[in-house]
Amino acid sequence: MRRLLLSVGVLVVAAGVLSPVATAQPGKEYSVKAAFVFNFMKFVDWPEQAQAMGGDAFVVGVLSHGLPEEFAAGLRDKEVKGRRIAVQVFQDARQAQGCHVVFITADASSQLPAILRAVSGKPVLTVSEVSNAERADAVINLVAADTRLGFQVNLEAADAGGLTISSRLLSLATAVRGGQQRKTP
Amino acid sequence: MADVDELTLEQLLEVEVQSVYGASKFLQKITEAPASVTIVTSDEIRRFGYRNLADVLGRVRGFFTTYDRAYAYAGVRGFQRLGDYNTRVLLLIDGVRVNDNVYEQASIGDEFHLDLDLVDRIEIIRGPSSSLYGSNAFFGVVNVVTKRAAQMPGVRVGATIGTHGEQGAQASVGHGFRNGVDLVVSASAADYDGRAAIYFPELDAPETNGGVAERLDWQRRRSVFGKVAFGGLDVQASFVHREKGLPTGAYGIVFNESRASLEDQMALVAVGYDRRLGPVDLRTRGSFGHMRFAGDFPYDAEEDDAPVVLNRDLGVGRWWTAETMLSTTWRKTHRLTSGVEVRHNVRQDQENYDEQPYASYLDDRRRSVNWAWYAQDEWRVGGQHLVSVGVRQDYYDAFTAPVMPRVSWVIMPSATTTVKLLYGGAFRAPNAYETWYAYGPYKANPDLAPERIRTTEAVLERHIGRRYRLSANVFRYWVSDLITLTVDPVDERYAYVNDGDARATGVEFEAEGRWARGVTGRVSYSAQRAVDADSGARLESSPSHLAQMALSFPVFRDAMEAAVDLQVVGARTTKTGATLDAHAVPNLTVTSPALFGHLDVSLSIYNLFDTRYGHPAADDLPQDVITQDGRTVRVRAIWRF
Repeated sequence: MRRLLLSVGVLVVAAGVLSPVATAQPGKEYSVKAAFVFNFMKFVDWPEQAQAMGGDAFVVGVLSHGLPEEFAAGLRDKEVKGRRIAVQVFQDARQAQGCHVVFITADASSQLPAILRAVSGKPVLTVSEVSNAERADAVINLVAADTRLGFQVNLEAADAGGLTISSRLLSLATAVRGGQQRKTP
Repeated sequence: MADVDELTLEQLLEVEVQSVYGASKFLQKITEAPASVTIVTSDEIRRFGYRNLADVLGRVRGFFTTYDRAYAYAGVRGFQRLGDYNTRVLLLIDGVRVNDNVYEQASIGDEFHLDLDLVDRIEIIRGPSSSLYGSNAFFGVVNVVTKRAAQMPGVRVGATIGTHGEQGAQASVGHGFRNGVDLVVSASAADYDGRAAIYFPELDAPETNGGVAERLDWQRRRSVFGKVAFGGLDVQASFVHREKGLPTGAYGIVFNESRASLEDQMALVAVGYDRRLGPVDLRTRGSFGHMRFAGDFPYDAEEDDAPVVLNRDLGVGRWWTAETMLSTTWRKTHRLTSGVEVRHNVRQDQENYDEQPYASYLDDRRRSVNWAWYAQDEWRVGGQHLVSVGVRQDYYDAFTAPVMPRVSWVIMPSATTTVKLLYGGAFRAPNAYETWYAYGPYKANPDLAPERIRTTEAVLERHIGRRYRLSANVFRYWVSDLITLTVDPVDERYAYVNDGDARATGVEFEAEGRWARGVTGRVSYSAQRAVDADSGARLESSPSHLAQMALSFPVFRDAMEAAVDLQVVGARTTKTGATLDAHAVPNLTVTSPALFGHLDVSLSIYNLFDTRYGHPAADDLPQDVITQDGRTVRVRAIWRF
């Protein structure tokens, strides 16, 4: 037993000495989710006519009843594809017009079907956060995977809106559903 | 250290966001919690077809379970006293204690308040935490966190059918109103016929029906749950009523008598209010709890040809609790938490009587008050160290409980590695049943004192890339003044006394992997040696080895998910000293979420290979080993409107 304790002790010290350089500071949940959305925007291509919307800004709409401030702060005024990101928070699905991205928080997930109807067939990247067990027809669904976050991609919904999703994003997804997309490099 | 918004997608997938509440009474990252923590998510519960908390705990590193066809019992880290009602595990629903105030049972079988469909996650916190929770948090704390409306939106109706006449129905509504009110209501009913005949070889004699109990493993369960949250206020109520046939002939009752049964009823109403006053977070909680136990025990009459007498054993508990907790940050590096908790036990009643002819043997009515204060400081030293110290003092009517502090040092040399060095203590106060239950061969012992435990533990947790997480820990614990049922040599009657010390050493390893396309796997192994401190003999029902494996993967192009798990429990001894062989029991569940967009279907096969195995039985059962069920099948369907 003593030897066992000693060997575990050695293991603990060795792990401390040999651990690699830090990669990330664990963040607050919604800062992390904002960073995910920011990355999704990098790897999704909108059709031409959608690029023209919103003037010089990329519009991220957020459907939420109580959005943590750190989410908006994590996206506001950042640049993606050479354009500034603007964040709009709304409570009603019908206000989702003119957004490139719509993020539906868990507390507003009862309105998910309504929002999906409102943007159906339009080039809008919908991102939801409902648990794996739920039926999510958003293009991307953020899910808890163990102690970290993962995401699922619904290619059918992406196809319907004319969105193209890069293969890099698909390769990191925990699950990919349906769709006929040709994988883009 | 990079800021989170500059991370690549690959790096983001490695950031920890999952948190645990029960380890410190505030939400914190698992890596920073002063304990070894396992979280079981609702997703895992669904994929693996878990039926109750015992199913969940049996698959968690370092835990094993025992079932005697009345209740399920959890063993932790090689410690399980046969016939103890899980009094050394603290069970919480959303942070509120649900161990009752007579037997202090942590109900982990079907007699637990909640359907697992209502559960968002289960936090399993290993080690003693009397410094936060007082009594019962001896070997661990299990905190069951319920879902919010957003996690179960709309109306759902479900049905379950299974082997041996299992039938169940459930309905739930979840709705988040626009004004911010969050509402969940759910109800369920489940009936189970059980096997027509269960054979117990130890009772194979003509006068006991050849050892066969007929139609006595039945169960009926009803439960309701409701929850409303608005702003900082949340109110929840849960109620469960379970009746169970008793096929074992426990407590010396007549074997194979159709009236032998148990009834358990539990209710809990809890109100919580959170608000922020300047720099201080204020959390106030109140709860009302109710427990009613009734056993119908048929005994042979004294005279030879008189009819069988039905004896009833009752326990009724009611209690109020109030807790106020303040939490604040001081100098940006200290997180101070302190609180006061009051528990008023308005009923702790135990009764025992014969129905016909009526004769009363026990009518014991008690009330008591206990209160406690606690304080905890979590000190962040630089970016890599977290030191926390907690103390709590509990005052009971009969005694002042010992102060059992907890001290922990968490070292985070990098984002992927955590080392935890932990020291903690806990006490368990004698409960009303152990102190006052007295009739026939049992006598009371008002002089009982708390039992105590001290634990030291080292934990290493390590993420390797995006795919793997490893953890290893080594622990030692010393238990003293164990509350033990013994025979008084003077009058040959049974009483609980503080007698017995135990100690244990053990190691646990776990590896988890997540691969592409939703394939996840976990394997864990623990080895422990738990012995009686005086004789050095291994404790009864204490396996030296435990292993668990779980794998889930998509099938048919993601249309379905399959999940396989395997529980291995090493050899353990029974009460007669016989050795019960190791057993390995695999289960399989296939789920098909969102068929036709609305229907979730799952098929579970438990004990896939029809393995024959048994669990050790407690002293008051005539058997040495209780044979467990062979292969059983269960199908569930839930329609979402």
